[in-house]
Amino acid sequence: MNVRAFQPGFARTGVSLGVGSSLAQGAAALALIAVLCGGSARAEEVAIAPGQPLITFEAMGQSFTIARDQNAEAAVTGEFARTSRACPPYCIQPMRALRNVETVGELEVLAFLQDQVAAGSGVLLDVRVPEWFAKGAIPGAVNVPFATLEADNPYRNDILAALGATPTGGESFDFSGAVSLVVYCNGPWSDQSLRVVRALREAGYPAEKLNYYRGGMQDWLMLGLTTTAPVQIAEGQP
Amino acid sequence: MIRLVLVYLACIVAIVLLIIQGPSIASRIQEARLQAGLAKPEEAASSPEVAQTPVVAEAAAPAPQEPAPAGAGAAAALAGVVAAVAEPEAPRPKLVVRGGKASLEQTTSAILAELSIVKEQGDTGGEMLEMSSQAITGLKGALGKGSADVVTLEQLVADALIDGKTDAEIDASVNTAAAAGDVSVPAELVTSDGKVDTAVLLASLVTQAQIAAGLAKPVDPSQVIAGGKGVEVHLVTKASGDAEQVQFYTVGAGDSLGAIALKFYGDAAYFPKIYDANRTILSSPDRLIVGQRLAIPTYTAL
Repeated sequence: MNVRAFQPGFARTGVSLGVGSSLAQGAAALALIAVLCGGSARAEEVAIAPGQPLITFEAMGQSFTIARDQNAEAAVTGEFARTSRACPPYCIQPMRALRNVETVGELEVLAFLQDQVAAGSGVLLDVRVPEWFAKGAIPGAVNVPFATLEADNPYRNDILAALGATPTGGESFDFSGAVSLVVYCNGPWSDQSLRVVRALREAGYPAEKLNYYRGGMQDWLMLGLTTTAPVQIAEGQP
Repeated sequence: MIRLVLVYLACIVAIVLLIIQGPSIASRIQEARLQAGLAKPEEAASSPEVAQTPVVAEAAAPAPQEPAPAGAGAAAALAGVVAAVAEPEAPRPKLVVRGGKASLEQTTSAILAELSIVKEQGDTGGEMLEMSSQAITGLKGALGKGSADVVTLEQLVADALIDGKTDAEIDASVNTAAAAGDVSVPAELVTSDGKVDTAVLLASLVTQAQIAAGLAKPVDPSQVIAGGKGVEVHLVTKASGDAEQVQFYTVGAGDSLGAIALKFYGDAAYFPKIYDANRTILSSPDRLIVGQRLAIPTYTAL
């Protein structure tokens, strides 16, 4: 989001340098650069952490940048501004998914993307349905809808194999080569992540390779962090 | 309406070809698609020669109607059981085996849907396949391992049939992908030597195409009399004094549970009956061992 906000600034700088032929115009261009740079510095006021305005990483052959919305007036609108969805089914989730499964926050998710996802030793799983994933997700996440990881999906074992588990005959797997996972969904009011954590544990996925990002899209958007597409969700239940 | 008639015609053509034991099943299905106007003209030009070696002919043909050898001694039967129990589990390449609601029928109907021979699966099966395929593609892309082109057995077989591949080529590509862990397979298709029984899969495709066309099953399970290597029939006298015929089958190299069901009942879909009758020696449908002696329930007892 904020990356897009900076692009017009750089484009304008390029134009003014190209036009500048006289000394006066050159000086004006330099002044403009100074103003723009100063402006940029001020626009970075909303950092991720002190001294960390943004993070970048490479995965799936693409480079990703994650920062926060620089508009001081920005607020969560639309579907994610709602407070009172019916429970059940949209109930408040516990802090801990399962024994030995770590619960993580945004900084851990960002570190996971930069370290494990970039190295190919971890995957950030967005377990929401494809329609919601398409409307906006955490950059670098892979959409593996929660239903596909439940035991009754005939293709579930294909997914486990794709995650690096080695078949050992029958339906059993050796998970020693399986990647680390951070699982998220719409946030603390959705049980999809917990369902996935439970289903993966039942399949034999080691608890220490599972992490639960409880905040999910709800907290990600509330902090103005970059998403893959603008989240504009129409009426209707998630 | 016209499309429905064409599909019907295509299936009838497939049956006629099955009856006259023509070319390989792959080319038969290809031919059915051509008849139905589903394949493009250039595909027609590149369609395979009809004289290909029918790799599946043996398994696809109705079980031989020869009389089964009856009345083998109880001592021999006992020896067979002992041999099967004593046989150690040999190491073999491990395939990704399906669980959940997976079955050969579900696999074949997904392939037929892909080939437009039957309509899209009515239940959530098609949606689950779609979501799973996208997830697998995403994961393979993210982790940079495995072949991102090969996602599911269904897609692999449907694409091969559309491309006019021979049975032998389909068998080779399915086994390569399965051995690499790129695709999972229904347990009843895993052979005693750890391979994928593509012959049974292709035979099942033809059977289901016929059923989809509203025709009766090509083989009446109660009329099948299996014979040949590994088949034994015993007369067992029950406590009531009635004599009952009991069939046994000794697992050979390359046998899958689906193939054995096809041999005894004319349809691989009956494999759970054999599996259930042999739970004491079979830990899972994909774990057949050469030399294992399986009890085969008679059709009336199903």
